Amino acid sequence: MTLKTYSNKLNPALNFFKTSLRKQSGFVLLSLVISLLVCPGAILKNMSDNSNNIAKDNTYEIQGLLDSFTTLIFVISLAVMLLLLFVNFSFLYSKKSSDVFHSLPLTRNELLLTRFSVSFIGAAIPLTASFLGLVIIAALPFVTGAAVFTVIKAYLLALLQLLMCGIFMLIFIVSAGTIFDMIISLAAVNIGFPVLALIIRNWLSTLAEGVEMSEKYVFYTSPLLYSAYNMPLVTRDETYNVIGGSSVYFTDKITVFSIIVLLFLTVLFGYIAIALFRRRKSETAGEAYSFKFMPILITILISIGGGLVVSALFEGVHPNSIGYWTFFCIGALIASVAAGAIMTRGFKCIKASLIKGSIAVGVMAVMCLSTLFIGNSIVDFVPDENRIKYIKVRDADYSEDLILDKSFTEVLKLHQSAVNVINSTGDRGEFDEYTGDFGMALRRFEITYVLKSGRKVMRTYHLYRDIYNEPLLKLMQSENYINTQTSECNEVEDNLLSGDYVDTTDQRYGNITVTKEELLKLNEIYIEELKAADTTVFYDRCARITLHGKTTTKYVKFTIPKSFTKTTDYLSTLNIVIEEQTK
Amino acid sequence: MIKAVDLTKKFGSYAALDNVNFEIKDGSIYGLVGSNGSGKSTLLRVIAGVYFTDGGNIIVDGMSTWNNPELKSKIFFLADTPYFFKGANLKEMADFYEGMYPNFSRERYDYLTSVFPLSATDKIDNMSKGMQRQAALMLALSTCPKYLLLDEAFDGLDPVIRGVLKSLLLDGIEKTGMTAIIASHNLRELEDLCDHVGLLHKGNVVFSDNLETLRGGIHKVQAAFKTLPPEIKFDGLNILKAEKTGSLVSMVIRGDEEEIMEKINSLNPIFAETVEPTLEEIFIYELEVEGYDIKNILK
Repeated sequence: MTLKTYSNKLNPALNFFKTSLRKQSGFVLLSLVISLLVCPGAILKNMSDNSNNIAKDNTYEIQGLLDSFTTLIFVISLAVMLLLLFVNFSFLYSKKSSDVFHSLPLTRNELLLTRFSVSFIGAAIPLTASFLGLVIIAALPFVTGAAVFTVIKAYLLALLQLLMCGIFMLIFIVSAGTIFDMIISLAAVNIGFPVLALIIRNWLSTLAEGVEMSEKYVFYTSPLLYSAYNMPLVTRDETYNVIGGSSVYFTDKITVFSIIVLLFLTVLFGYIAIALFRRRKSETAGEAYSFKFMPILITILISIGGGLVVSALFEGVHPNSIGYWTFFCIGALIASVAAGAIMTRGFKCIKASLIKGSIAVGVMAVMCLSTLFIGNSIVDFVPDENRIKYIKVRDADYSEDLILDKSFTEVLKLHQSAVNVINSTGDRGEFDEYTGDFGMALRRFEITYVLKSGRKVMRTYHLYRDIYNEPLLKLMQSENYINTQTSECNEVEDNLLSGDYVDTTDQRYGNITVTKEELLKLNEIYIEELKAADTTVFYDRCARITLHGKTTTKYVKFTIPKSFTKTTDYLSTLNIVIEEQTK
Repeated sequence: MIKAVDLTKKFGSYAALDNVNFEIKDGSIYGLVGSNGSGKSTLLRVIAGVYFTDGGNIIVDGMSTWNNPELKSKIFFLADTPYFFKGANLKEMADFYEGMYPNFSRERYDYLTSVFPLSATDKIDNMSKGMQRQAALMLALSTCPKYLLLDEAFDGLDPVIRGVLKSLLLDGIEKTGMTAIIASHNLRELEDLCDHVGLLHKGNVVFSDNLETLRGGIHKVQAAFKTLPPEIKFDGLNILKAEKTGSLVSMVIRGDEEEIMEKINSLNPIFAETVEPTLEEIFIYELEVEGYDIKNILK
């Protein structure tokens, strides 16, 4: 027998890539079908359900669907990516397959990159197909609310984020020795850090009255959540203007800096994943983790989780009592021992687990003290008027969003008065046990500053309205507020509006329907009386209405005091149907 | 040539290989024997580039195998439990290896499919343990490796297939100059096949030599005496093991056969003869040396 050998030009890495791609083709096809069913399938179904309206108006508003569907497609692709990574890297978790894959004529980098790129391509296929469907829908002549370019931008962002998230997950995949431990670590980090951020956010608002941490920081603690948070920003950014009415969204935007951050994270995670894989010992297949740092990190996170659960069950969520910390310690130590037992498949490292549990308690204590220190250092901060670009004020009763791009003095006075009250009385804005009245005695108002530097400052206060009646009334009587309220009414595109009516005196609920003409008249009378109002308006409200047009979700709200007699008289002439007597 | 220089591999604090030194010449069939946990499989994995070392080097053809695809394309490692893709058949696995190993020979694969009674289109998952091992061996031999590393190669194979495998290995060595390293507990199989043997014990190489040299260096001597000479009379002999039944003494002695017999004959035995020890006996004697003070037995 003569032996025929093949050319040395054979490219094992390329062939390995092709084989891996072929092996997952069935799963990718299934994902593609599911993805297409969701998008554009669900949107087409929605269009079909509304075909009569589309035929009548020759328009189909997609803006509302765009945010949720771009995010949904991305989340589905992320799930597909995770499953493909499980499949393609499962060889790391079995000694049998680990021997074969590690003995193949490939470098470690080739092995890692081939398997990863195959997973990424597999997840990118359904993502691309769904976005292609979305592009085609956006390009239809009767579809409004979404530019094709916006959808393409969302796609490119989704693709970049998919890559970044995939590489991030890869770190956990190469660090674990079994699929079970990999899932535990991935879940612990992606749930643990956001939970920690939520705790800090909660503490900050408790320990430093008024100071509020933006919810975006919670999303920033996990690349997966961060990506999901980013997705709707592209389409929202295109949909809303920054100033000029109540439709202003004071949300983040995807900027060049955001893209640079994403690219940086992609490179950083990639570097970490490659470095870990190169150092990963093949013999750790079947063990819990390949690196010592991972079980330490996971145990600490699980311990903190355990501590929080036990302290919440037996004491509460505020870290201002010995009881809280006692129960936190108990919970953290129990959780650390349990986590250690799971990782070592038995109680083999109780002492080490207790040490990790103690570290978790220490971490929480440091976090608490740091939050207290930071909170106290910024609690009195009121921005300088010259540094402010926009202000959004949200008052619990009187306005949804009041956006200001000039004349900030009244808001700053309002803010300063709140700070002064807290400093002088230590008011924590809690429920008034004596009057038993939270809604009337205390009111929540939020101020969000966008500074010229781009930084945002958020404050939320729950204070007795007596404290800030004067500045709030001035703010409501200001030209800015009146223009905002009026422009909200003017911008309504529909001729017929409907909504909810609440009689706050008798607690009666009903529906209200008005024409645009009636809305403008109502607003005119309301503004006229508002200009002449005094601070008693905050105590004698009698009705509240919320209106919106048929084709828009933008709301126009009025909270009407009893003293606004002209307004209430006009209101009584409108079409109000009381549905339910609840009192 | 494969050369280990102060090779150390640890699992935590346990040293599976502890400063191992040996050489395996090209074109040989090297039997790797040793007690359970002696480090045989670990050594094969280090040679195959699956494990990296904690100390020392393993040099194959002058290069380290770790992260060296060029060298790894000449090595095929078949672990004690073969692995195949889920749901794959023999043909699919052959296609895969054809794309991975530049020396894969379709001709040899076709020849082997005629030798082994296996279907190329049946799912390997559904095959018996022995058949799966046959499939793995077929694929391994089809890659025409320069170095074939087999861990417990004969496990689960019936005697006929074992014979076929031996022939194929010898054929491969003859035609391609392949070097085979076979780790096994089945010393009988190795004895017929190997020309060199290495004995590992507790991560150390007890010996590594040509089988003939090894056999020539250890002798089983049986001698009967009217009166058993005192122990001191046996001084000068490197006795590995000794047993006495009445006036009959059986000894395993390391050294030159002529010198041993000269010494025994000087003690005036009724009769004395030497018998060639089997590999299994050598294995047991050498391990006993590691664990027992055999001179106490003569007392």
